[in-house]
Amino acid sequence: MGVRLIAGLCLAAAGVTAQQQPTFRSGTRVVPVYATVQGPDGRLLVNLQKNDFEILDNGKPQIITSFSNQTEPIVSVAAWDVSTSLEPFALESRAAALSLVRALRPGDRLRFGSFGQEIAFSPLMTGDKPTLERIVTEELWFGGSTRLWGVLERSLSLVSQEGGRRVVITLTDGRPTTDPRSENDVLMAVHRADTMIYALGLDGAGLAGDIRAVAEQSGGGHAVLKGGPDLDREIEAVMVELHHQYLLGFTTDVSDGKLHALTVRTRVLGAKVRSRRGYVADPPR
Amino acid sequence: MRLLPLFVLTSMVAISTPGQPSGKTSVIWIYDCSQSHYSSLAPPSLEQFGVRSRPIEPLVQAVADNAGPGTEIRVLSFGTGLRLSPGWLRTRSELAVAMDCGDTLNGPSPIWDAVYRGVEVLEERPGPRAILMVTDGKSSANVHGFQEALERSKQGGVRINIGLARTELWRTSRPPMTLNANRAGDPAERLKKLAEGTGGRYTEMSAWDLPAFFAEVVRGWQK
Repeated sequence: MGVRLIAGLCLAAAGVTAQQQPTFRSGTRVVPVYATVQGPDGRLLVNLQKNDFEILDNGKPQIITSFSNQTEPIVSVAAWDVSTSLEPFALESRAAALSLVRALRPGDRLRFGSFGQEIAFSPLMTGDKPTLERIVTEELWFGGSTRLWGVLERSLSLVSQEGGRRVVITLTDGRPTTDPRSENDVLMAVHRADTMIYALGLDGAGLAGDIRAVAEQSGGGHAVLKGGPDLDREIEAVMVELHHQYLLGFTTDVSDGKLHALTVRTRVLGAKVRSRRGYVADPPR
Repeated sequence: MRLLPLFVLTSMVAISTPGQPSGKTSVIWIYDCSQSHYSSLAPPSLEQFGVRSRPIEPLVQAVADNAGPGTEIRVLSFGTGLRLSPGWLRTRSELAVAMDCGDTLNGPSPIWDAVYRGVEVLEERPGPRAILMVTDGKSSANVHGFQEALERSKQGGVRINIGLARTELWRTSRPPMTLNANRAGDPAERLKKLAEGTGGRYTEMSAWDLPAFFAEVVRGWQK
């Protein structure tokens, strides 16, 4: 709730400020927006066309200049919460990680990280499943605190060095402890990084509201895994979603360095769109 | 409510090549500067209650006091990356300085990368070779996996002897517990496999007995 309120205020303030202060213009840039669309029955809609969408930047309709509904590989940092609170779920957590590796498609790449007693990111960004399975099997040790926001910020930074469809997947209960960073730090990083966050929880451990809200703001999603015989199917559903997103883009010459509210709509009756809710209009790099 | 762990896992690994000619013994001392290792050590104030807090100082003393003039050591610390001391060390003071974690402190635990690198460095040295290691066994952020490190050690013709110490945080008459063996596994398992896989010896002991064990291992190199 707190995150939604703060983020909402930030976006509202960004809109007001943009109207009152001079706009700095220096070249144009394309703002990419990934969107997931679900029909009224909750099923993914994967065959929409450009004309089915509408994008608003700070409430103003934009011309969609780029569009793709192709299935694309993902490049991902997986940040696994191995803090003390998840120690009772160690086996389920490891099983979920292995299931995620199995569900990777050709061309996908993944870099594993964990946070608990230490924050450790594998140096390897790879799609090689035996290597990833080795990392999961050998490098998840439970215990310690939950520096969730700091780890997500770092994950966003790591994945931003990669090209392609970027996503941070985190398995956590979403209850940070001794974390010097906040959800707002992560939100700002999300709006700068053009990267979505997908948060996974485990049945019994739960998934706190703040991390769900951050994932929604990023255009990603969240799910609590029941595990057991359902685990592979649940992970597969997440991967299908991540691979079947629309890539929309609009061109802007605004580079005021401010946070802009983004809204993506579809003309399909009853359909729901998930996409990132804002972007920072930094000057083109 | 979860309390502090009763035992902290600290391991000592000695790698030595069997049947080598006499000469200077080259030793790589691998030291775990990771956050998991350091955060699990007890504060020095608990030593009065029989707790071994910082095990490294007595180990440095044991090695320095028992290593003869024919022993040369380089320190390979790991945490935020690997850091190899620039030269071969011969004195206790040089060794103590090199054991300072510096900017590697509080990073992850690329244990197998360190073993792999240690074997590579030793292969360039003539004469007897050995590896000492102090770690909690919780590996992370490795380029090379456990199996690769094991195979590399075998390829380098090394035998790995492991003295594994579980440091009692509180003195107790109870036998050592396998505290770190949580549902996700015990880090000691791979260390044991490393020893057995290379034909070495695996033993468990109290952290208070580690210095004597180190001294015995180092004296053994003189023979």
